[in-house]
Amino acid sequence: MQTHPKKKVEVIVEIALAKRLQETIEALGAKGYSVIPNLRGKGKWGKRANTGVFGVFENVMIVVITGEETAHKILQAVRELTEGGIGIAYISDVEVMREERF
Amino acid sequence: MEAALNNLISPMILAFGLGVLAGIFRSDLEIPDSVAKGLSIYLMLAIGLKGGAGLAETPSVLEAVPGLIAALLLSFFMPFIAFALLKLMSGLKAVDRAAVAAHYGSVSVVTFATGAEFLRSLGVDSEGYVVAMLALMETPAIVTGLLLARWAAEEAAAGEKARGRLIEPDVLREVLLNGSIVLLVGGFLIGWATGPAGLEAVGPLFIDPFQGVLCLFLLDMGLLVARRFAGFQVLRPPLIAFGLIMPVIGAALGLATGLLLGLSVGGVTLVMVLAASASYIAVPAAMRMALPQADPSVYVSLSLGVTFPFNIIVGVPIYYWLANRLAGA
Repeated sequence: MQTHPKKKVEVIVEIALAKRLQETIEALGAKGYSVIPNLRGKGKWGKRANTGVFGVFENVMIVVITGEETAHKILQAVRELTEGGIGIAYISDVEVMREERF
Repeated sequence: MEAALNNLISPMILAFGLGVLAGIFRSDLEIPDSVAKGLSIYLMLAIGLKGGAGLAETPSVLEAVPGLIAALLLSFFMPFIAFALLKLMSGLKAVDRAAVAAHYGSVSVVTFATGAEFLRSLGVDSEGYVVAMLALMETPAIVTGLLLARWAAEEAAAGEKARGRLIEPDVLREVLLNGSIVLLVGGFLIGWATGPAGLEAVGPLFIDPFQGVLCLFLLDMGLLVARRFAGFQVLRPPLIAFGLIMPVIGAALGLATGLLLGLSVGGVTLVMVLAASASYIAVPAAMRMALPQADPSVYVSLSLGVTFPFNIIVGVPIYYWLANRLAGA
């Protein structure tokens, strides 16, 4: 099957910053994204587990598939948004079937 | 004294204790996030409905106005006291002090619910509009906290005016339209519009099981408190002392306010509980958005780990005792 190269950006941020980032991602020209809520795990900022009612310590992952240029702009935006706080962002290569959708 | 002991062995406090123990001993028990959020929706709507129905029974709505104004003033000015006290007591950075101060001006719905159930168990009535005071006290403190942080930043920058808005539009939306406010105010209006008859119609869901649901919620709170212990390393003795002194100062202000307003013993008790309590849901969410440089483990650990248990275990019975001595017939 014919596939097309695209970039996948995965970003882990605090839920408090997620909405702003989602708006930025759209403004930078990505055609869509997915948000995975309530991440669990461990890292520089300690453990993330069940957050119960308060979402203060909740991290989410935002997944975007887009062109290379936009992908790099999103990474830059994440850096500006998180300013050295919680934030993981990386780009990887993916192949998509329907190029026009990304 | 007996009331205090009864409070200690109420199912709610014991459920909280169970949660703490389960957390400390690393049980795999957890209340799923969506269930916990569902429970809090239930609690807030139920509190709103009851308060509104209570107001519908009072002869004149105007009676509530001084209380509502007092609530706004308390929430707006208490952070100044907390901010100054923290400066005296702790070595926290100004931005952390501002964030903590915002929490102590705002309120905790679950502390309020625990206080209200304590009163109900003693058969003590209170004014319905105290619930409206609860809803109004959630937000002004956030504005004060942001003001304090901005002034501190301007001072640090040698008087140079800070740029940008004090409150970004997305923070404002979060602050004014967060779920708890919508539910409390919405429930209050529904309860007010439909009166005691409306409350009776939904009573089997919103009144009778309330205490049981509160138990489940407090179980979850206990788990969260215990599991946040890792974050409690930030709690040095002066900070813990602040977390115990500030609610007492708040309660004293609440007592004065309640007496000035001429509230009943139950009403005075609940205003004391409100002024003593510190937010750990609405304000942290707003602070993460508006003051990301403030350390969340400081303010969440303080309000959730120190002030919340203090208030529900020892605070509530003491506040009631004082209110009874000073406002009782």
